[in-house]
Amino acid sequence: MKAAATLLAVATAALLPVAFPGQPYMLQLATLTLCGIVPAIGLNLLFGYTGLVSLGHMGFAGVGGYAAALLMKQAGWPFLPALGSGALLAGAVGLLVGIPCLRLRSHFFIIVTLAVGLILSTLFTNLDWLTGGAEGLPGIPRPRPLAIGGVRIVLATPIGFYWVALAVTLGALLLQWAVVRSPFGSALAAIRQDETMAAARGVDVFAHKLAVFALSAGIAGAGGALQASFLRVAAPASFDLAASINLVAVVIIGGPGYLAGPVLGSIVFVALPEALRAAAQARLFVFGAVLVLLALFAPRGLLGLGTRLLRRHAAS
Amino acid sequence: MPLLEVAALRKRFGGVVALDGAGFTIDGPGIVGLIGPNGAGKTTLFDIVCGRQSADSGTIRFENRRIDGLPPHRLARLGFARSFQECRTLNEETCLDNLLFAAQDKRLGHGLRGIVAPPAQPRDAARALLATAGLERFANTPAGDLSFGQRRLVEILSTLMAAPRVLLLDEPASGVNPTLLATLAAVLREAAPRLGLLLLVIEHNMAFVMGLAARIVVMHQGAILADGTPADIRADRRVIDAYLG
Ligand SMILES: Nc1ncnc2c1ncn2[C@@H]1O[C@H](COP(=O)(O)OP(=O)(O)O)[C@@H](O)[C@H]1O
Ligand SMILES: [Mg+2]
Repeated sequence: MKAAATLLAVATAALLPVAFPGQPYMLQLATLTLCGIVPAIGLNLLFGYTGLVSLGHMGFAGVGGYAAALLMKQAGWPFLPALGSGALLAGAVGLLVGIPCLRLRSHFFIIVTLAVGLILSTLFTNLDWLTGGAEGLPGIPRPRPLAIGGVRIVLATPIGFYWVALAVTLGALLLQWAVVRSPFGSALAAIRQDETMAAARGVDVFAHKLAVFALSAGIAGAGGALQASFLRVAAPASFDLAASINLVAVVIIGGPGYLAGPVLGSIVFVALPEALRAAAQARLFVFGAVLVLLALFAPRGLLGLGTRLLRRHAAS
Repeated sequence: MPLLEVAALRKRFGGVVALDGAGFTIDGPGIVGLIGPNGAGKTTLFDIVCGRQSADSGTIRFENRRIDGLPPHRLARLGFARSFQECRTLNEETCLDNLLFAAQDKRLGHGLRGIVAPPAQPRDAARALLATAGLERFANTPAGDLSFGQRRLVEILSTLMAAPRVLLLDEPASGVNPTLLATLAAVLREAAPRLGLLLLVIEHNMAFVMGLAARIVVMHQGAILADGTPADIRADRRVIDAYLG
């Protein structure tokens, strides 16, 4: 059942450009949604599975985005190595930040992640010589064509880049799936449910939190790199506190602790409002209201709500 | 060489003296009961042995090796396991997954390698253990949906899955109905010798603990009041005055 649904979703996503030929706006929206899914997967591992809230996670996405932008623009690196390096650097920054912060108790930790997000976004805006300041780093070159055994795949077109984004997103989803079902993932779930008990059973809670924090920052970094190369600019507004709070909203709306949560959350949060062309202010208001309603009635997001309704339906 | 040596533990919480020089030596595997009135310091002693709290002074040796001050996860890897007075299970996970998690190698490196190559899980052993306690029909039920007594059993079975060398159970009988209690006693009586386990049981249910343990240690006001066979303890004047009364 689940495998079939997954296959169907992937096929639908892959065929989207074919289904909407000559609709660049749809394609752009779909690509933007994919760019939102990747950092949400990172936060989902941290927040949904481990129970650690980070309010500054787009800061790590920014580290990946700026690093990849510099590597592609200045050093002329190809897309994939730049994205990988951006992710690694973001993961390393996550590791360094995590070492002092993860020893704090959970509510202090939340505050500190907010501060980290703020510091990173301030650095993006003010380190002009490195980040280009308020203007950011524009003019990121499009990915070069891919040559597989004589076949040349052009990635510079909107459709080409959509497939690039889809491949990166699927990779992140695959990683999320592999992490969650691994013994590492079980230990993270145990930490979320009962830290004292997890420790008594032999889990080094701090080491596990640090590992998942770095991993989650790294995935966010990949998402930032993807987004920067899609927009062809690494700009501070993509990685500021508002973006970080939006990311938390994406994960909460979709369903924290569900594999598909980031996908659904990103579709609802990025694609729907754009498609409905809601004004920016109305959008914030609507999402504020939706978040309050979700917190009250569906603490595990839309997917949690759906599962509950299905179960109730099956029971009756 | 004694298996477990607890010596002169002291622990204060502000003005409250929870442990006041408590200590005992256990030579080898077997079942030992730890009894005493509420507030005697029994749970605090378990917390310190398992690394959840640290003593103000005193030492703990496991096979002659100092282990006091080690964090809980290190002690768990040395073979210590415990249940909690308040009962702790993974309530969102199924009973089967609770047992499988307990059995899993918890080292971070092992967990991370498992992302690429998931290790085999002892599902059959876990199901068999659930069956010995009559819980096989709950294998796929979230632990949180069970009654308190059933959750207690799941907690204790989980600790057994890790094949510990020292198992500390904090009031395993409390909140468990008589039928389940008989099951629990049978499971423990079978598992302890099979695993070569040192089983330390805090209990207020005298029939349960005296029937299970060959040796009883009595605590009172943070110190050891008496130590002997169940028959000795039942006849001990000081124990009767302080506790059994
Ligand atoms: N975390 C704590 N903070 C303050 N006092 C505590 C704490 N834990 C235990 N105590 C006190 O220490 C004493 C011993 O408690 P405990 O070890 O739980 O006793 P027992 O398990 O034998 O009933 C009690 O007086 C209790 O109130
Ligand atoms: Mg107690």
